[in-house]
Amino acid sequence: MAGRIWGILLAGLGVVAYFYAGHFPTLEGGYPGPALFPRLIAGGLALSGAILAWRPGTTPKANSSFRSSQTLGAAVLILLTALIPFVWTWLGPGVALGVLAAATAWLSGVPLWHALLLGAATGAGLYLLFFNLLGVPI
Amino acid sequence: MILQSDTLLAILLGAVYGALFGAIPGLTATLAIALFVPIAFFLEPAVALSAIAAMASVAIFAGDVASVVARMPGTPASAAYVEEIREVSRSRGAAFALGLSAWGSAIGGAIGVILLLWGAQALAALASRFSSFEFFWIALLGLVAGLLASAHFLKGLVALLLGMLLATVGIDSTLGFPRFTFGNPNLLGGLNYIVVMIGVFGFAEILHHLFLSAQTRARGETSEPRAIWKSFFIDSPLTLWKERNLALPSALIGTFVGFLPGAGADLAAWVSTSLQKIRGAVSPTKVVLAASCSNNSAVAGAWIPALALGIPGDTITAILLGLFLVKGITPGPLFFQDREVVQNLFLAFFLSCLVFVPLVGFVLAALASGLAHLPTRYLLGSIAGLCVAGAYAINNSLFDVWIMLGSGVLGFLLRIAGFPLAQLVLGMVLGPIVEQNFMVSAIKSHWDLGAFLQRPLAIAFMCLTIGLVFVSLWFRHRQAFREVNNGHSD
Repeated sequence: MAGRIWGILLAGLGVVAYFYAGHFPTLEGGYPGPALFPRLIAGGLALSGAILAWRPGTTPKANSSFRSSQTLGAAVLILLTALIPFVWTWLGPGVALGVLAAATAWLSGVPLWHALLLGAATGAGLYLLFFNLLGVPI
Repeated sequence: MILQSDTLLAILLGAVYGALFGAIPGLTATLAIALFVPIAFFLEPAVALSAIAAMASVAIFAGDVASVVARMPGTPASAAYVEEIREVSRSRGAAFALGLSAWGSAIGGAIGVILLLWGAQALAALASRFSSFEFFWIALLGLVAGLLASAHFLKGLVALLLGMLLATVGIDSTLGFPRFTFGNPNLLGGLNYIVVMIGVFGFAEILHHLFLSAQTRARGETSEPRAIWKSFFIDSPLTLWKERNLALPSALIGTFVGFLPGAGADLAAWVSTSLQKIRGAVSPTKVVLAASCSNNSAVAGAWIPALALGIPGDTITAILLGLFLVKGITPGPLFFQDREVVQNLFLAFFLSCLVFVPLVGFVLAALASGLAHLPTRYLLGSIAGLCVAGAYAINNSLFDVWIMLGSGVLGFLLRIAGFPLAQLVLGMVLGPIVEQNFMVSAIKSHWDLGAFLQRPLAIAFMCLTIGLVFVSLWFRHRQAFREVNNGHSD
């Protein structure tokens, strides 16, 4: 079933990309321009997605079923990472990286105090390595 | 001739510096050398070139360290065999896996340097005959090889096409038209494949652990210093000796791919890995050995057109040629008459490959063994921080953090659905090379597609691509036949 859904999604993506690329300009004399490769690739994706939807084959079984607490944990991590660029701008990269590291560790089951210590060490370590030692501009 | 003490010190420091950049995802050998250029201005040419040779050699090997510790390849070359090196690490320990990679890199690198020494001018003359037609066929050969190496052909094809489609985002490099940017200026530069690679391997791994509580512990892991030493210095060289027939062909492939301008170690590792997989039913150990031999021999190979013709083989040698300009060094036949610089360079390469890659590799293997002993959940926080910092460091752009996050979610979903992630990265790396060389060739020939079949070298590469398809089908057929026979005899 999952393979079929993937096939439909990929075929849909291919079709959308194919028609979107149709708006790209052509070269003088009617030769194909920047649309050529995107359309070839999107056409291939639509076709292989359709074959996948028709004959999905087997999808590897997950080791354990998704539990709501784990799904929630992963969703919180995704949301937090999406907000990291704002935290980075307000509080600096060291704090942002530390907060993310602590939250990830805590969400994956590390005790809170250990997670906070890990976060502080990771934030400080990465700040020193990237921005002090290697000179990456903030 | 004996190296001067300042050259030896430069090689040592270059090796350590290269190891640091190679081992950290998001930091590349190119960035290491670019940051080193201001220092190189004040050094003697022989010393500066020796340091750069050491950096490049060690950084490519060190890309495997993050693959072993966190399934997050440090360099695009390491992405070609990340699953295999993880498998070797899980079954026989991090020290053995990194030992295989280090000794494979050492031998491959040394063979590459010998070829650089003996055949630089002849190989460079061959490279000068390559045009966009030949490069198109070579890049297509790399794509086809990667696709045929996929265990599930259709899923491999989908992942490859998805990678190629992602690579079309941004300004078209041939015609300068923005594609799939949706008016967002941050997308004009395209999606950097290293940022995507950090997401699909690194961040996806964190999500995988969070979702599935996958607390995998390595079966062969040890923290005993003596056992780490034995795994690294005895077991892995012995395995390399057993598979010695693999080293020379892999190093030859690496040097050949490396000396093609624009190809470099990344493509060498992909081609070598794919050829091993196409042969069917090979062990992960063989794949790791073949790929590590290839990617380090390609480092030396990339210097061939740079030194002999002044044509950069990859981004590292492009920076190197800039340094030549400042130092007043002229690449070409005259370069090889400056005995001091040439001898220092070759000795630096040999020392880096045969001494510093194993030594630095042992230190990194000991660290990786220690980290592999920790419960995975204690590492996930630091990996998340590293993903974000590494993604930012590529272009100093916070927008890339969102690209990394999106790639991570996509990588996680593709992984649980059984799509191969390596093919996605391959599509992103080779897709633009295929497109650019096709468009340049087509425009040059006024859209006469017959021109792709008129040059002898282009025809040879086309035949090689078609031949590869037939060889792959033959290997698959033979494997299926054996499986059926084994089933009957059981």
